[in-house]
Amino acid sequence: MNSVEKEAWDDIIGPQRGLLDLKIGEIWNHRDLLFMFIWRDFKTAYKQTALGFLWVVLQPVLMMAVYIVVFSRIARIPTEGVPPAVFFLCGITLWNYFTHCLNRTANTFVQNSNIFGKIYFPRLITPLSKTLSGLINLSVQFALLIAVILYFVYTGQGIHMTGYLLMVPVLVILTGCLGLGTGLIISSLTVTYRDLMFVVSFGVQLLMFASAVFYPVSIIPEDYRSFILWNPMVHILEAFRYAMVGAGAHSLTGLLYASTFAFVTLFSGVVIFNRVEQTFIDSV
Amino acid sequence: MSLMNRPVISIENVSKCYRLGEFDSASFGRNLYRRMHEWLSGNNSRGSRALAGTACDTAVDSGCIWALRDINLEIREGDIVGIIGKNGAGKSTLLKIISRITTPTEGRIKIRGKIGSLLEVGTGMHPEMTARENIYMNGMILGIKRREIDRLFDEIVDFSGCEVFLDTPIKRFSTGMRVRLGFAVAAFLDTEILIVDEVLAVGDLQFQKKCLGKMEEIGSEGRTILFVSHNMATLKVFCNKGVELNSGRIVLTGPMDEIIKHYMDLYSDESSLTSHYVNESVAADDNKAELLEIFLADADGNRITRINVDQGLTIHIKWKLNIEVPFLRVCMEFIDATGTVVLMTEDTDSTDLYGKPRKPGIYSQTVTVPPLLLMPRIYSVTVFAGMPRVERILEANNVIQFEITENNTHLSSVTGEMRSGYISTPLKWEILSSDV
Repeated sequence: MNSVEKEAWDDIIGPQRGLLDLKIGEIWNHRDLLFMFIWRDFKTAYKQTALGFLWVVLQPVLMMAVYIVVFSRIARIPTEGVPPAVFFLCGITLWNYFTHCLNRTANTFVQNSNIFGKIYFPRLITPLSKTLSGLINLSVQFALLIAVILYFVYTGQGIHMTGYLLMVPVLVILTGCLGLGTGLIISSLTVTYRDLMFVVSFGVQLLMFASAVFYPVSIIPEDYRSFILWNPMVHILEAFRYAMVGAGAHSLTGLLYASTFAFVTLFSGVVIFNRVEQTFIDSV
Repeated sequence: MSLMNRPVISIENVSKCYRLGEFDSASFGRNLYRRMHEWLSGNNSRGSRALAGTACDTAVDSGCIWALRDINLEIREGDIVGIIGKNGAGKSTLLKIISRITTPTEGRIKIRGKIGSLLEVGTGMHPEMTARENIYMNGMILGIKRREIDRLFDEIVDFSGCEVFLDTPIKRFSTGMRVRLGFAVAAFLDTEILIVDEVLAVGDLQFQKKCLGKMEEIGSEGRTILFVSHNMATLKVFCNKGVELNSGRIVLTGPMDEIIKHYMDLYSDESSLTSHYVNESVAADDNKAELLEIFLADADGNRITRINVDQGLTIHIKWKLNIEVPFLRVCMEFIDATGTVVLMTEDTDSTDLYGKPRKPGIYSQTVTVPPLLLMPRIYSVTVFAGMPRVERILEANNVIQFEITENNTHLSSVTGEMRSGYISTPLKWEILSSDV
């Protein structure tokens, strides 16, 4: 009897897990579910729309058209000798992925309160799946970008891809980490302060203006430049444009800064999320 | 001691406190103020919580309500435990903590083996996805691996009975079909411990039986089941151990039969029945009609709460009509403990009021329930009045309760066995021939 009693318990539920007890192993055990969620997002995203998946391509094309008219023709923002179409499309592509990650993860708790209140699985699976399913749209839009670039290369309009191209996956990961990390922090805080939901919707728009999506860093007056360089997305977008079309001021220091920023954000996000996850259901 | 009986869930001093009114408005200022206040007065929230716990029982104190207090419970392998208690007794909270949906405020729960929780059937199903995809997704949410679902797929489909619609999005399914699909997935969960919360209330009778059968099968495999239900009959058949909760504390644990008996006795306690209702807050003619008073009396006019089945009873109702209506009926429903409306009666049935206008004023009416009509049980009474298919101008749900008791009538049985059915009227039997 005693030997049976002493046998190890599989799980102990206590009032609060340690701050760093993140249960990452559990996520690995639920990887099937992670892929199922990605498949669900993919399958249901464009249900009951006439154009379906075409929207993934249409959206950046329309955006690009508007940017060309507004920022290039009217505002006459220079694009570092690169055709404006390519310049803008670069920014739009990566920025889209960032906003996808942020927007889809920032409402995790509020949107999933029903399912979270009924069944336990590692909550982190949900935002993680959104971040990964964003890669599907990203790859389609990236293919579009490549097609446009190849068109300009073919017609000889002074575009050259650089060896930096190999850095693209890293830049995408950094973008995902930033979006997910920020999303996790916001979703955790939203449990108590619903106000943040409103902040996110226009905050993302404001952030776009401060993220060098439709202008190069080189045209920013000295006085403001150091200020805008605090934004990690600026470094990532500049590096991305440099990699794709050879335009922009990339700096290794900037990228290192952005990487550190992204990982710190993601880590804090995961820690806070893990904290809130345990009892949030009591407060909805 | 055999392996079969080792403890699989050990609940030690578990308490759960819900904060009240703090989150819903999510007011930043107030929250900040509270934090500041706690900080200034030198105690953090945990300290004040512990303090409140000793001072006060289950009551609300400093915006905090204890849903569970000092729960100690050991559940052994193969036990099928039924948890009973009134609404708000803490049943669901306990299941939520065990299934890790929320954490306890104090204490801890040790678990051996994997827990499958069925707090709601079909959780996480997506209407746009096909039945096939939903089986996989629902299964994975419940923690089953893909390989495992592959292996069980045919059985699940077979059990749910929707093989024809496998590739149809489930938004085209009826509610019943979705429930069947959800339960089918859950029933094949291969976990050591299964937590079930009132899931069987849905679906048709045939399917409910099928579910119970499946759960019995699970139980006979030596797996542990925790079961919350208001259906005493199901619990009695199904569970071998019982736990009774009241106001967040364990009242009694033991064999299920004893627990049910104790609980039923408690429920039929005089104090828990309200057989007299007086409306003390009659608003100035805001409502079109208002219930003023309702009470029960026996044949001699004495106020009563319970009455033997062979006696008649009269329900007195006093209500106020503030407007003139062209047509009205006053209805009363007798509802038993399972929520079944056993009888509905209308005042237009036996008076000449049918189709006639009624003037504003205070009405006193009675309705008489003859002897040997309702079975000996506890009933609650719902009163409403209105113009059929037009408007309900008065509604009072479960406003009073009464009990029909049974003592020395044709219903008495030597074995103490409860008779089934809803009506206690003795019918006439005749023996036409007997070959003795």
